Amino acid sequence: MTSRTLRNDTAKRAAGFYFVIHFLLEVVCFYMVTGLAGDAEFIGTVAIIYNVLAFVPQLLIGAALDLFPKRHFGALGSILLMTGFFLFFLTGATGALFWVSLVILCAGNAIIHISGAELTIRSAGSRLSPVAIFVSGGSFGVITGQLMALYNVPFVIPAILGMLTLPLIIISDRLYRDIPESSSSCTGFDLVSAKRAIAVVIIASFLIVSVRSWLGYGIPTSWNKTTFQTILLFTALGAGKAAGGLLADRIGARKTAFISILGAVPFLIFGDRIMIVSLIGILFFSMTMSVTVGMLVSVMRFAPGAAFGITTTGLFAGTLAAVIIRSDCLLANCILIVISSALCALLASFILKPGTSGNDIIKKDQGG
Amino acid sequence: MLNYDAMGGVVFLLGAILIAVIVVFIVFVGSAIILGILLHKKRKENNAQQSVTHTSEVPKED
Repeated sequence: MTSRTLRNDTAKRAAGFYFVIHFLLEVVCFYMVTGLAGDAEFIGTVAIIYNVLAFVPQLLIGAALDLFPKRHFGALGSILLMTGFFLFFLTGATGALFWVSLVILCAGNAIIHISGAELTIRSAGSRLSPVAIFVSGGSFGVITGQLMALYNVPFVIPAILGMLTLPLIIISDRLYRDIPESSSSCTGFDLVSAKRAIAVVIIASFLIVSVRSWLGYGIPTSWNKTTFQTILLFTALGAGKAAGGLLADRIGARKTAFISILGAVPFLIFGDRIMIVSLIGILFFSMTMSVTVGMLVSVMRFAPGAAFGITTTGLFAGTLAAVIIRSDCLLANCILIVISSALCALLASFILKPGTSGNDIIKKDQGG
Repeated sequence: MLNYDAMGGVVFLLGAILIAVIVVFIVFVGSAIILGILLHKKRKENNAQQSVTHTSEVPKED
């Protein structure tokens, strides 16, 4: 068995473990956040604090963990997550301790995200599917956590689910044994044209993620009225993220980017009232995620954690933009979807190298 | 001290925005420093590897 095939097997296991861990993590976080009651300012404050503390520090944590590639901090993230969760249910949503619990919960959330990204990227060889499958687990966790809170599921259920993250992370950390010790940086990722400067790729990827995140809030979905339809929406989001990685490994990141960015446009525009059309659009729309991670890792092989952190910071920037610039006008949203998709497609075509898929690189590597 | 009701919602919201700005600033500066260290480390590793390659390419004297 070559180191490549061994790593492929390791990558599959890493993706499976972190799909579940990510799911459980989001169940805990969204059960807590959705269950909060209060006026608009209170909910707004919690939303800002949660988003800024769970998403933005992933860049710093990712960079810090890249400094110590042989040390793994996922278990610490799980302990912090559950400490924040239990503290919240002991103190409630008032007083200083509530904010302390929220900060601890977010810190745990961020550390687990980066641990998942580090393992799935470092073990991937050059494939994007492991990190894509890891990220897709979150969408299913978000909707499950929200539903649990809305249907008043007892606190003990998400608590038990959250506690499962610790043994799962400890077991998944053993997969690092299969990754060659000599490689402090990840190998294989080569999706970006050699002529492009690192700074240009970072800025372009950040822009694509931010625009897509911002656009996500403007997608017309007037069909979404029932709980079942919301479940379908989140399922399309999760399935799209995983499909993006799988498709990029088969046909290449550049083609996947075009299918995802431009292919989604007609479905998103004409899917306002027709659920199935909209769901196809959302599925395509979500496929960009793994491509942007691949773009960043290709120029930051020495810091995969930080590369992943840049995408989460971009997600936060997009959310912030959606709070400031938001339109309820259907026509305006459709125009925004077309213009921003064209911009993202142009950026992707400028950055991505044609014709290389993760599977091709691995086959070439094995042949050589 | 950190009581939401006593301070009023708007003040709290402004506080959250201020915290967000501070966090973003710390994260960007901190990450830039760490990435600089990582890049420097990587370049040093590459240079060391290159010099090893060059040394092994020098033909041995008979």
